Amino acid sequence: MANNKLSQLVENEMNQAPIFKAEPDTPENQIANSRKAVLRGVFNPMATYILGKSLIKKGEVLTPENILRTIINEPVFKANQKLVGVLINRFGLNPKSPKEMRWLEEEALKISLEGNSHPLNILAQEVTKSLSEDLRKILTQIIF
Amino acid sequence: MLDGQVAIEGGAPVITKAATLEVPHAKSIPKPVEAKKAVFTEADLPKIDGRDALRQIAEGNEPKNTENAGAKEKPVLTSQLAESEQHYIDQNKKMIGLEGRYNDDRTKADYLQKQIETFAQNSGLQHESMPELEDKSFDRDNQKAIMERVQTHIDRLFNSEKGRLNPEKQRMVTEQTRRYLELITQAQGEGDLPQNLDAQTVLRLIEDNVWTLAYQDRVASENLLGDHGIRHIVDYNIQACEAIGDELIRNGQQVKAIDRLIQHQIMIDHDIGYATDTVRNAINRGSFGEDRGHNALAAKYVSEKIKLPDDSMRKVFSDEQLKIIHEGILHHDSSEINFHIGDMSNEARQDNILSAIHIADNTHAFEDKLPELLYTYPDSLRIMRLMKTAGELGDAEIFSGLQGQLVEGIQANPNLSKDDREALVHASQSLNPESYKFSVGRICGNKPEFVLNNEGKISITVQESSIHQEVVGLYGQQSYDQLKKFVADLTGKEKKDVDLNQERIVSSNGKLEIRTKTGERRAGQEELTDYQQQIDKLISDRSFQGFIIGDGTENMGDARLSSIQLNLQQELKNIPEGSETRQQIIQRLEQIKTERKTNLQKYLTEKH
Repeated sequence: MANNKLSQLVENEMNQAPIFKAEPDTPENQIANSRKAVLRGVFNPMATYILGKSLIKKGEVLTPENILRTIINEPVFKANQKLVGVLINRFGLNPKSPKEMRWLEEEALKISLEGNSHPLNILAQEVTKSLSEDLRKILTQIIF
Repeated sequence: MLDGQVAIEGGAPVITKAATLEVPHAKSIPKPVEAKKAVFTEADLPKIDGRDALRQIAEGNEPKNTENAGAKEKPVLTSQLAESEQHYIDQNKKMIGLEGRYNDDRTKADYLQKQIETFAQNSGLQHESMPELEDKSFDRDNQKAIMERVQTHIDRLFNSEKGRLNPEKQRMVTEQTRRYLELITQAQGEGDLPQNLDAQTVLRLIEDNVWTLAYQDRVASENLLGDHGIRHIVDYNIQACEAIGDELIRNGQQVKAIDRLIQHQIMIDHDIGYATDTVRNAINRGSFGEDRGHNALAAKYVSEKIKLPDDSMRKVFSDEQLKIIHEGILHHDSSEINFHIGDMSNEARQDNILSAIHIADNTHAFEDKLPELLYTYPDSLRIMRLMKTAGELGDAEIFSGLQGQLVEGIQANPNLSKDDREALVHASQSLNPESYKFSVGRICGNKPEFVLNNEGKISITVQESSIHQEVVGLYGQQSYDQLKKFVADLTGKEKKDVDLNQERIVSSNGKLEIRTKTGERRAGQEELTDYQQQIDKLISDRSFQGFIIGDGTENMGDARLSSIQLNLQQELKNIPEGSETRQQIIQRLEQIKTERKTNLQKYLTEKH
């Protein structure tokens, strides 16, 4: 798959989940959009990895839960399986929008404040590190 | 829209008496004005001094027309044009300051023309008569001599140390000028311009046009507005009008040389409002928004210019032709589209002329319509991204260091003339941390294509630029924002309602259809322009990548840190003073800024 097409695919897939999709840049949307940007920052490396390896099933939406579950099943990240499992249990994510939005509100601030010690940031960094040359370039192209 | 202009039967001009013309354009002229369906009125007939005519006939020459259309001042025409400008201003009160700009002495035609002449003189040019053209009518024989003379002006202004150093623009203007001269000859043959058009007058008109283009290009290079120079006027807008004209012909619709010539003239002058001191100075000092209503200033330039002694435009074009030119300029950014096929009436042809103007000007946004600084010096995009970081850190020292780096790079570029360098340095100095917002979204489209069907419906196919996603992402902007805006403008929809994933977007009157090729259907790498290739090179650079996405260990990369910083700044607004969380956020913000500054300095050092 051409690099450009893959970066576009990541963008499109992420935009299907309300928790990632930025709304028009109006004063009332500013805070929610800034939280979503933080969340996308964490999940973009994983989405790039997943789509780069075509691990997503047709019609499956890239919600945080789906992304984490897919990452668990990847042999490369076996060492992190426990961590990912904890994340899923801890946040109990599901695609239902209201719950996700509450999670976003609470968790984005933790991600921002805790930096490299937050489990999701740790995972994002590990995934970034393990990306192939091509996928690193695509991640740069997508950028958060 | 203005009504009919050229009535031709069997190839001969039909001369009609002045009649009443209905409202030409709903937005322009409020009252009925003269001449419905008239191409040439009696007033447009060549006016030749009796003794001159006798002398010329005695010498065996056809009396030469030095006073076509409006050689004498035409107060009725010019007052109608001024009235339509005033109507435009009255209708656009929301354009703050427009009335003041319109009434400013610095937007007067004689003032602006003097500036254009001074600009040309600085390149060592002036209007000089050609003895071999004396008392000659314009024809195919002297067309070549005129082109040769004007070529020296084009070369000087567009490809020499005395002007811009830009062979690409030199080529564009050369081709456009050749075409313009050919269209005059064809229009004479079709009876729409007098056979006895004075050759010196044609020379003067062409020189005026070339100077006007060069002057606008120079002014456009000084700032960061979208392109309003040669690429916009000649390479895109005029070419788009020509392509639409070809589509009309393909469908059996008549398109005359005069129609195309009028379109060339409209485009040459349509953005001159940007070059007036009132707009130019405001934009150069960063006061965006003062360009609103620039079309009224351009229209004023034309309506006043044709009153000036020895103006060449009014000697070449008839009153009706001048009205269409003026109308096309005043409403060049209208989204009104109404093409006619199989209708040879003047009204239909006139609608077609103006619809093509509107399509052309609006769709340049579908191309990479960029400020000259980004075209000529692509590294400015990288610097602008770094300036974003410096701006978010509030670090004036790093910001001005980046600005200095950009200026040094421009000054040291051997491919730029002194004048190029001056203009680009000027543009660099007007950069601010948010400049990217106005430039990056413009990188959005590729090669719009126009197809008309036999019902007059125009279909515009636009591909998403193959680098749009990357570059917009690089700056954290919402994808397709610019593209959506222009589709909304053209189709009369709200931007929020534009769905680019639809294959077709049809305007409410069904006359316009936009087909978008985004995502997987967008342009491929093989279709990258030279400029886009340079941008692709930038985002493939390892050290730049590292700065943006980090190293996967401690460094998260500037893009993520930027998101976190902006999020914390937002959260801070809602957290009460004195709370523990507030303190945590403030501390974390300081950490992030320090980290970002360190990363930026490290990148700059490595790059250096």
